[in-house]
Amino acid sequence: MRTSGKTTSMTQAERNATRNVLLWLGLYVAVVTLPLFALLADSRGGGRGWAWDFSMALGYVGLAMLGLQLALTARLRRATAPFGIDIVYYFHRYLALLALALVLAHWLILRGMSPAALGAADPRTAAAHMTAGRLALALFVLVSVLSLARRALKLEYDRWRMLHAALATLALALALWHLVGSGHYLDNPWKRALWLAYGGCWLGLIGYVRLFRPWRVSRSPWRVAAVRPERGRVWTLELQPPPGQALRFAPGQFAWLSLRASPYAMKEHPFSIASSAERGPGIELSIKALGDFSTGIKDTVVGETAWVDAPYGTFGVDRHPEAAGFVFIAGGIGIAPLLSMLRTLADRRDRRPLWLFYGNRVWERVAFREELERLAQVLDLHVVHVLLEPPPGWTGDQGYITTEVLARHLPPQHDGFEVLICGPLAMTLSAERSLAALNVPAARVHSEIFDWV
Amino acid sequence: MLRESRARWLAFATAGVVVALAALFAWMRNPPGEPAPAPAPQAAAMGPVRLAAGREAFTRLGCARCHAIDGVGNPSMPLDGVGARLDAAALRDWTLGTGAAAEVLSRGALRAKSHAVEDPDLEALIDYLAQSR
Repeated sequence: MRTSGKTTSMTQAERNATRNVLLWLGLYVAVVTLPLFALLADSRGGGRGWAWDFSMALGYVGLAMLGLQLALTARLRRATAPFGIDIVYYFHRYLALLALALVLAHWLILRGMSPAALGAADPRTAAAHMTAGRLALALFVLVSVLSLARRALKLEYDRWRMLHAALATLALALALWHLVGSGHYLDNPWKRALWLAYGGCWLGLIGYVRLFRPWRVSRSPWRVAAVRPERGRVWTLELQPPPGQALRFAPGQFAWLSLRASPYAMKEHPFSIASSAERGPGIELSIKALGDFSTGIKDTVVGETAWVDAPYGTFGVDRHPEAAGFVFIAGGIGIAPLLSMLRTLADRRDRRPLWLFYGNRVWERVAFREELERLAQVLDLHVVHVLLEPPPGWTGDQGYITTEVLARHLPPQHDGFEVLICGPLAMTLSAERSLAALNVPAARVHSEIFDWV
Repeated sequence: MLRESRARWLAFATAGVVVALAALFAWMRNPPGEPAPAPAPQAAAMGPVRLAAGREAFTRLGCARCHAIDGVGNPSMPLDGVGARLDAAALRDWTLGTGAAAEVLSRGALRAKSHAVEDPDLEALIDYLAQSR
């Protein structure tokens, strides 16, 4: 990370955040490796050569990591909070590939050392647990390929998600069978029990994610109270919780929404909450017609049931209560979480200085531009519209949100400001580079990636 | 991307620690002081054809999945020198999972050994094991 010379000392909040990150990573490593080291206790016989034992250890930890993949995407709030959910999903992706590499190494080392020890490859003559291991490995490779090439294969998101969950669960079960069946290190009942219980935890997690959480969601049916068109093919859904309930959230957080599908159907999609956190009990989601699901939003009917699992996410002004001011950078529908922050700050009569850089293609499709004008009168807010294709006579900024645009409008003195960015990937990348060029410390720049799933 | 590269960095660091711990596990089971298990010297009292048939049966019957001999197979349970430890009758029991062996071995191991009795090269296999001293 780059930091400027001016503000390198960490604040208390940053120290706490770093501590939490290390704590959770340490816990992850412990959960993955402790069951391995438990095998050392009370074991019969000595080592089997370093390479052999290393290969076995890779098999055990590789499987433990693959089992824990479920926990990473189980939306466990406390574990994801120090990182942000987008980082946790990227982490899930990279760790899956690394764990797969470990399991492949487990197999390759054994093959290299002694092919005879693997027995016959033909499933008709091979031991069942060895075939299970081979199948599990092949399935894990398949799961990874489908995930990485989902878009290239034109695999629809909902279908991919079902396939991903089913194949990964099957592969885990086969791998656990392989482990307990070959069990050279599980040489007494309690070790066997430990690893079976470990596998049981994965099943428990699947039960939690696929059954318990949908059940909890299904107990609170929300209702579509209004569907409003906005500029730029954006639709605002106004959602009301069941009577007597209210959703408490921080501005910038998001909700998982299912429409016209059971909460058990795994057809939920994440959307930023756009309404003020100070008003309730309902929420508003502002959704641009972009993908398979969002294009159908406009056909939603008032009175329809909506399933809402919320709030999630760590992007927002409330994470930085000590900030002297905020700089918001939005591209297109990336305005939604930032709008929630602006509306909330307005309701709280916040007097801190705010800047909003808002990039769009054409003026007519700038979603919420009228409301932003109103907000600018209540808040100490400077809105800078940047248009790619400005209308004739446009005197404002045009093109992209570049270093020059930022430098032209930001005050020379912006120590203590936090920067929040939400938009398409290319815009986020370029904004991050521009801010680095303006000597804004990386620790003060926060971005939300909205196509992480 | 700041956030993606951060996630990548965290993932690689975590996996690195995990691999280092796996290496530590292997090292703890094989402290550097102790010599690696070496194959015992061969006492070639059998004819080469019968020896080859016994050795071939050892891998064909899947013995190598759990046992190693002459550096072939799974070193978990080495059989080098087994001919010096067991007499012919005990060798047969442990190969087939009968007699005393039946009371000690797990069900999975007994199942794995149950095919040996039908093998035409069973005697060659037992002789092959017996000559390892």
